[in-house]
Amino acid sequence: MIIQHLFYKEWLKTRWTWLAAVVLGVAAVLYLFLRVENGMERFGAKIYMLRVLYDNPPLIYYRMLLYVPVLIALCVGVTQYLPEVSNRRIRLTLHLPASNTRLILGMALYGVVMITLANLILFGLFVARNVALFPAEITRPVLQSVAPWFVAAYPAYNFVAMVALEPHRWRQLIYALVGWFVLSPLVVCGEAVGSYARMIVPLAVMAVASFPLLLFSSYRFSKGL
Amino acid sequence: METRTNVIECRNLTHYYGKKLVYENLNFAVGEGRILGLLGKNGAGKSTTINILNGFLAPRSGQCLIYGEDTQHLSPATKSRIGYLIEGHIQYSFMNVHQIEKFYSGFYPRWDRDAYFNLINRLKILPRQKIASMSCGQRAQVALGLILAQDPDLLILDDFSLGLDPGYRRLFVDYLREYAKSRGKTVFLTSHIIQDMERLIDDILIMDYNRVLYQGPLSDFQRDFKGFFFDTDAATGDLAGDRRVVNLERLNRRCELYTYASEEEIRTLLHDHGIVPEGFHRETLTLEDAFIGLTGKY
Repeated sequence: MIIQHLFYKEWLKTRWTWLAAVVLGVAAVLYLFLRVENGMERFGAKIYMLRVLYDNPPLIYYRMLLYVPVLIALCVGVTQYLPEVSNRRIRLTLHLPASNTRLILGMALYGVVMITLANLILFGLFVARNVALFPAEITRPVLQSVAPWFVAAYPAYNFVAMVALEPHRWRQLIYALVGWFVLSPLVVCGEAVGSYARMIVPLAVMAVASFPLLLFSSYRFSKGL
Repeated sequence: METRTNVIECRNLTHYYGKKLVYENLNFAVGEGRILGLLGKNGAGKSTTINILNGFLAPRSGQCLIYGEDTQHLSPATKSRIGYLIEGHIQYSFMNVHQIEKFYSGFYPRWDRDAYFNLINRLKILPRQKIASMSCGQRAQVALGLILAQDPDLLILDDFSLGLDPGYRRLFVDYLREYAKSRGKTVFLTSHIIQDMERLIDDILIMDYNRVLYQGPLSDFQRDFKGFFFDTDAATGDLAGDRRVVNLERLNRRCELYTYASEEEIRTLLHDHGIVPEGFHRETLTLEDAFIGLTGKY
């Protein structure tokens, strides 16, 4: 019951931004494959696929997707936490009759759910279009390259929440810089199909490991530290 | 003899911001069904106290209890018994009046929808109007309506009159007093507009930098605290050191002497210091006059 009402509040804050971000993400995926189809028409599907696999450098047709999931996560995080921290409005949330941990985790869970929904839509569309246009020999390594970018959305969201909930400006700056320097080397687009697929492991670890950090920020906030 | 249980008890509360002392060993209690007003100049520690009471600030030492629970670790059950008005009537401004009612209703078992809409229906607002686009007075009514619907046992109101015009202030005060007294609610509040307090509170806690200046029933304070006014050419500097003189303000020949002592004692005191007062008289003090008399003009 409490989680349902908490989700309602979060939904009211984020719905339009989330929807707009997902629509733009979908548009990016559709545009990306429009260019693929155009390339296949111009050069022929076989030549196009050879360029994807063997050109030097190869044709990385999916490059524009690189930061899309992270940007969606940032949009969700900012629209979720900015109204809470302006005027220290989060006091209203923390005053609700539930434990502070449960309330903050409830908000974070909402963010994770919305990012997952966005990821499912975009990744699903990407897979569907890819399967329709390319054989499995290309689709499989491409998906392995792209999957870490979607996983990166989770630690990015956690860092946004952590920065937003932190009461001190200089600590916010430090968290933001740490988040940037730790995350940005892991969200990369290689020069070959299937490259950097192993980034999924450190990014997944970071997603899990950074989740409790936002509790630390909210604890500091609630104790006026 | 009537015995009241204390809803709020703060014991030996000490807090610093960095090295700056806010207060040391502050003790106070609020009895059940009482309305206590916390008064103090800017920076005296009013908001600090409110934040400690709500568990949003950990004191350097000491403890605050609400319904016997440490405010740093309030249980959900106790939180649900506390209505909290944030300074400036802060609410979720991205919601409209229906959305915010729907949101809060899921958290409070005693939620009274009618109490909220009885107040909201008096406002000239559109059904889908966001709280962000409302006037300060309208936002205050929404915030008050939400607290009334929550039906808390204790109301903590931080500077409830901030930004309200006289009409809204009066409406807020009268509504709140009637609600609290008819239902036996306990209220702890602060306000910059002291004349509002006079209509509302039973007990008063006046804080100055680092210390408590007065704590007790408002009626006792208004009876015991006096202001004597006179003109004189004599030097009055020595009077300020006398324990009977709480505060002495002087502008040219005009003197204002504030005290808990009787008129007779003050006349004797002036005589002992060789001061012949002209036009010596006592004036009836409003709460605002008394507050300024007690704390000084600056």
